[in-house]
Amino acid sequence: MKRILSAVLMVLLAFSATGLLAYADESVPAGSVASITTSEGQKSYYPSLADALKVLQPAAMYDGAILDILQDVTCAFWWDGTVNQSSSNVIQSANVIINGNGYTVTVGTDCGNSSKNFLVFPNGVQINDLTLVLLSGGGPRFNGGDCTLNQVNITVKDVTGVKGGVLTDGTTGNPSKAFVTFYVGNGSSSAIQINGGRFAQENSGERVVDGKAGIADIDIIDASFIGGSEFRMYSALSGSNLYVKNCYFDKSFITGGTTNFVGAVTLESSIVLASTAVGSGIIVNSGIWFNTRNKTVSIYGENGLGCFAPELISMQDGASVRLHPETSGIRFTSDISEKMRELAGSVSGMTVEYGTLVVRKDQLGDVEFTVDSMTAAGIKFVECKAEAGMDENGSAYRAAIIGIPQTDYGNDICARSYVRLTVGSKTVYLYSDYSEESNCRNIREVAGAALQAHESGEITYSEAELAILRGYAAAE
Amino acid sequence: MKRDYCIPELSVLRLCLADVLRCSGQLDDYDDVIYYGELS
Repeated sequence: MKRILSAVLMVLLAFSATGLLAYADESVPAGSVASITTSEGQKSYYPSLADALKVLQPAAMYDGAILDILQDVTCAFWWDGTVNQSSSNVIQSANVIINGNGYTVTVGTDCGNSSKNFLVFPNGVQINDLTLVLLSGGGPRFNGGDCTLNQVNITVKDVTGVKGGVLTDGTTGNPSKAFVTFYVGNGSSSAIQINGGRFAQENSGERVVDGKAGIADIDIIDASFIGGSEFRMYSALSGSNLYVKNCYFDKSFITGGTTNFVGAVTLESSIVLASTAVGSGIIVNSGIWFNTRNKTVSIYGENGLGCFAPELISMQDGASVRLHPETSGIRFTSDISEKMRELAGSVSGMTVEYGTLVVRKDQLGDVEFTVDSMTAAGIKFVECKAEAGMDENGSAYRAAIIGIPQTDYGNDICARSYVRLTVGSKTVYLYSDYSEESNCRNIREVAGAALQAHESGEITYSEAELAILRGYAAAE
Repeated sequence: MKRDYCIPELSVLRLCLADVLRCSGQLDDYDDVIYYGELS
């Protein structure tokens, strides 16, 4: 009983009069949703995300603080609904860091089309590894300072009137009905960087990106923008530059206010599905531009260019065992997205080939797993074109590596899905996502896992198949 | 031919194994095959 009372007392002490859990050591109080670590290294825990955010509200006190999200969060409001985005006074602490730690924050269960539901950062912020699901209201808004989003995913569900997004120096104007917004009002210098992430607008009637940009450099690398009505920057002051590399835009790209956009827009190795041709002021150094209205495609850049296209082609994690009695081996499976199949069937004058790049991990080393990089580095690899391995729906295909010598049963083989597009004399490769963790395997470990599955009763193999698996798993 | 052959992910590996392949008896013929020696 004493222990119980002690525990209760500890919890009561932990909650201060303001309702905050505050600990200065490394123990994590039960029920903690977020923590804040000051620039001096003092850490405190909070029972809700709103409580933690409110701590960051005053200017200066928490400059440079780190907010860690410790579990998935669902909340009706970012805040308490009393802070209007136009006052730009929410998170005054400068240059705070928010670590999502892979968790999901779902916001807006009870606020409708409310401009009070923005989360405003007027003095710079970095957000890492976080997924936001916006049911209504708005997302984070960056009104000043430098803003960096690393692996941040934002999904706006199928609701109308969602506002907010990414912007900077947004002291004038009111971008509406968008969730990723680039906005510089009064010419202050700022920088926005988006590294990775997926930004999806499930309400097709709204814009994916809506922005007014002044003097801001915006760099977007390795990100996908899905759905929405358009990707737009407009009413710009001179001096802004938008640089896009390895990105995918599935809808439109810079339409509407294009004539008012003064800055430079440069695309590298990116894929755009737009209802228009490339607009004026947009420089496509390399990449693919699908005109979905005219059903045409244009390829830019050097022949054999590679584009990162995880929205169009993907490889299943891990590998499997090909249990053919004479030609067993290790197998990698690729999935073709519905969008890719739609493009392949509708765009005229384009030849589409699917396949799997295969290479030994010890030969790939640190070289980029692309045709041009491996060719330049003199690495031996194989383009395994999908033919017999294509399923009857044209939605998946399989490539197997056979004849592996026993001495190499423990050597990892890496695979990556590709789509090879040819238009006239131009060829471009679209690549799936790739990581060693997901896409490199050796036959010994995969066969061993299959045997474990058999032993646990999840799968039943015949004796002949078990003999094949044991031959790989047991050999040294 | 049944091609929905993948079972749920087992630990970190997604194993698209051959248990249902026996339904058709030939599914393991439907791979594009390369020889390991081509990688060396």
